[in-house]
Amino acid sequence: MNGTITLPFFKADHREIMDIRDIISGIVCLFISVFVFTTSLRLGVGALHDPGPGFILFWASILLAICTGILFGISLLKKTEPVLRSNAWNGADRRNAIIVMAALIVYWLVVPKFGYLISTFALMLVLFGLGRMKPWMMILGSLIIVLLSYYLFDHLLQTPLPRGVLRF
Amino acid sequence: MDALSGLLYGLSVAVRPENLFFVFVGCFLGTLIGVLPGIGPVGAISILLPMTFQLAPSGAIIMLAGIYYGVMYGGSTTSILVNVPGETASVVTCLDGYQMARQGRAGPALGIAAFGSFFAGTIGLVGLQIMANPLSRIALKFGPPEYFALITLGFSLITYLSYGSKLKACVMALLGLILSGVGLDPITSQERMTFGILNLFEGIGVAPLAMGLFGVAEVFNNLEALSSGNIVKVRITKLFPSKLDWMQAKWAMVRGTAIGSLLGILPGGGPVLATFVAYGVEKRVAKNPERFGKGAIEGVASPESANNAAASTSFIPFLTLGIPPNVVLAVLLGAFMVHGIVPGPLLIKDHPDLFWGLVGSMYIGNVVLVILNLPLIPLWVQVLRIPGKILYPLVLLFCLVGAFSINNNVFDILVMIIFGMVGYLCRQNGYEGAPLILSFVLGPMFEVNFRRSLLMSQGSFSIFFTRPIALGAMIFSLGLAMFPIYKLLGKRSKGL
Amino acid sequence: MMKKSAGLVLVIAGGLWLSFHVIGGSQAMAAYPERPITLLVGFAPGGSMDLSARSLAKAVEKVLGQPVVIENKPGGTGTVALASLLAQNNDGYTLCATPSSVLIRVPQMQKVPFKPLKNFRPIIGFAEPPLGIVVQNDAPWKTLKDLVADALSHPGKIKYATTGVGSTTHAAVEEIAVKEKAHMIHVPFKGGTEALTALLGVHVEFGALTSEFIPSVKAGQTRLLATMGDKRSPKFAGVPTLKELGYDFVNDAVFGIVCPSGLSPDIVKQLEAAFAKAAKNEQHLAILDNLDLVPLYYDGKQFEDFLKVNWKKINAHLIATGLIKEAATSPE
Repeated sequence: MNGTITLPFFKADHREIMDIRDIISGIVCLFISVFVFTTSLRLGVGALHDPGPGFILFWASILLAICTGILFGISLLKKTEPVLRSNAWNGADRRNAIIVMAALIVYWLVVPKFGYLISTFALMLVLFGLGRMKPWMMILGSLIIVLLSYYLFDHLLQTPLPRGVLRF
Repeated sequence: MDALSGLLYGLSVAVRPENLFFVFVGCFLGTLIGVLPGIGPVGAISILLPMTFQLAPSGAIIMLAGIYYGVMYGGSTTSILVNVPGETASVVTCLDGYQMARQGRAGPALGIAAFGSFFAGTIGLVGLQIMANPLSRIALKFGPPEYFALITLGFSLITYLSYGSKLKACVMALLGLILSGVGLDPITSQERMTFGILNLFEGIGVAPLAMGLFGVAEVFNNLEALSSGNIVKVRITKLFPSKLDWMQAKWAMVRGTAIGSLLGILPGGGPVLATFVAYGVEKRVAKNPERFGKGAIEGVASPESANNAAASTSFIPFLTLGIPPNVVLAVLLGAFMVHGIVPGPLLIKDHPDLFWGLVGSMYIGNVVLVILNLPLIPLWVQVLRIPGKILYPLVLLFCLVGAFSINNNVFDILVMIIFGMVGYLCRQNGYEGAPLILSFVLGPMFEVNFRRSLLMSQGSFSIFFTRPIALGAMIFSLGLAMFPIYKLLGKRSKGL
Repeated sequence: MMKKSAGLVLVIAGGLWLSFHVIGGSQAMAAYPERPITLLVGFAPGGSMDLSARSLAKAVEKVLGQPVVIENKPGGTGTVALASLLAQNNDGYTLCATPSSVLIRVPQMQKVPFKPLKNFRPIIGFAEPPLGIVVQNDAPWKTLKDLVADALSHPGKIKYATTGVGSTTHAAVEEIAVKEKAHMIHVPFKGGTEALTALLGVHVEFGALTSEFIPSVKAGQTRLLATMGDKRSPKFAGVPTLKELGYDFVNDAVFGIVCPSGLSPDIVKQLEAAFAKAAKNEQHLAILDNLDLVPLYYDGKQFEDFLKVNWKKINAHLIATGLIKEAATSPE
């Protein structure tokens, strides 16, 4: 297939430039394959006439290791080419993403305790805050969205949204 | 019931007022979801699924299917006007569609996308209508080895046709297969990679996984540009493509339809892969390929036809064999099950009203979608004017509630968040989410049928090569697997 | 300016109205059940467990005044659904319909991630399924004896489909295999319909199935060689039982509904009463009759005792036939 067209959200054509990102992702995959491999042995690979629970995992982990190995090989062979560090590690671009990820994890932690209304209101404040809105807009917007969505899901669609210690 | 009388019967079911209403609602929601970037059909169907419990099965399924193929229409609008794909299946449309819009030809681009979609969707439906019945009759011949061979073919297809690095596609497909193994063993009920977490016993949910990988990851990726989307500020005057446009696009539409119809049938195929392949083929057969990426109308017509054709024909393996070829149909399978209906060889015989009613409704739906899409373009443009700083928080909220509502379980929210991060990191590192999710969907069927086949043959692999259907699929998939290696070796020997 | 502030007032008023509605709604929490109840089923749709659970769900809906939604979670011979039940909030909005065999038979053959007699609280036992051995209609075997003779002369050639490893039907065939010293190959499926489809496609030689075989027997697609009840089925009076044929096997599976143990006693009591009433529903009984299921009634306590007694019985039997040395899962 044609590899020359770049997709709008792909900054670099990863087929041309193998950079440090491939090494890191390769290491992660290798870890995964080692973990899956040992798990499959523990579960029991079984025999061909009676494949056990670890059978598919066993072979999948081996194939994964082979694929990552090749990926490594290619990255190392192309070591001499310029490595696009600047593109890979642009901290400023990621600040927002990291804030939102952290906010989501916190949201997941608190939602069973404080319930949908309070937690979602707080989450919306953070998200709108990233969009640099006027404070009163942020508060009003979050409030309306939370109440509207609560009404829509809890009452109309009958999804029992989590209720916190305060019973709402 | 033959194909024609079946269709007439199906149309009579589909034009019942309540069903007509559900077709309309499904198509409208589908278009809306297609237009909005970030939120996809998986999330929408998961959110709406509980609401359909009280409906009659045919109405519920007609509506949810309408969302699925409606998305294929709506997705193109966003791609063309904002250069952000409204849905994964319209990623490719960005390439030439946005360029056309910048040249002031947004109208013809939207027009050809809609007409191509209508043409392809309808042809795909004819294929579904003609093939489903004979196929469901021979479907009884499909035992575990045949299913295994067919799904193997799907796996080869996923990696062979994927966009970008094949090696990375392989890695993602294998990761998907491994993830599908989480949970209780389907045969011996042993715990596998559950870490003792109760919620993982039934495995990772396909909906939170898909919503994370596509919806949430999409939001993470777009956080950098929280300012409003850069909609092309042109007045869309002429939606009907000119004669020249038609001349250029007509064969692209036909080719896109053919490719989409074919890839839609195969497991692991479906709309997303079809668009990539159709675009690649179009570029290859073009007399002057340098026009592509600069606003070639074929580059819009072909993938937009392909995804609709594939959306129609992907119902063939789903309804006759019970294999969901892509993630949306995997979620739709849940909707069938809730109503006690099993897609598979016995479906057409046991539930003719549902099967033919669905086919009939899809013919109607395609007409409804053209009507919704062309005259209502200004409305969708207004939807797109919602600034990113409002849209993306809303998308996140819908994903959160959607993930929760599947099982009313907060755990699914965590799964979605984690895979949102994974999807974000993967995309940053040049890995695609599509192969992972496709092999995740096919994984359980792959494993169970493989193990059943080996049980049946007492460990002999000959079972996959002595039965004609299995043999055919195995040869085809081995060929697909060998081809890139052969090409690589050829290149090496020339290069060194 | 005027216009803008007017809009603002409108928005605030709307927000206030909504917030009253929302908070009012949650304060006016009605008694259980205030929203739909999910009933998990461990097998694919279309099988006898699924169909009978759907029928009972329809009946209990009328008693409880809330919809009861069936959710199929097939896999692991029905254990996936039970495990998944434990993962849900224990608030009475998720229950599980299961054959007793998944609680007391499967866990002896397989290690399962729950304590079958400790983690669940039975609510009702409501039906006894007919089990049988069926072959394709044009298959050469007219009786079970023919089939066994063929299996003896061609070891490893006869394949059979069941609804899962450790299921009652699997155990029945194992019983025959052990007694006759025949080597047959077990191919497990996730539900009766899947297994029956494999039989109709001649991918296996026979099926040991629950009542889902009945329509195909009536339609002349399959032939019933033996049933597994204590007595012959009234609908198939000409077909012998395994007991008559000299095998020490009688079906001991009962279809029931359980919730996780630890659910508030008030709700359990309410559920028990509701299901008891629903089990007497005429329409439900007619459907059971159609499926050839034998209706029976155990309340929670009786079903619990049934499980305890039969765990020991099955355990002793499995050890005596040499299929297991000890139960793979401890019951409590």
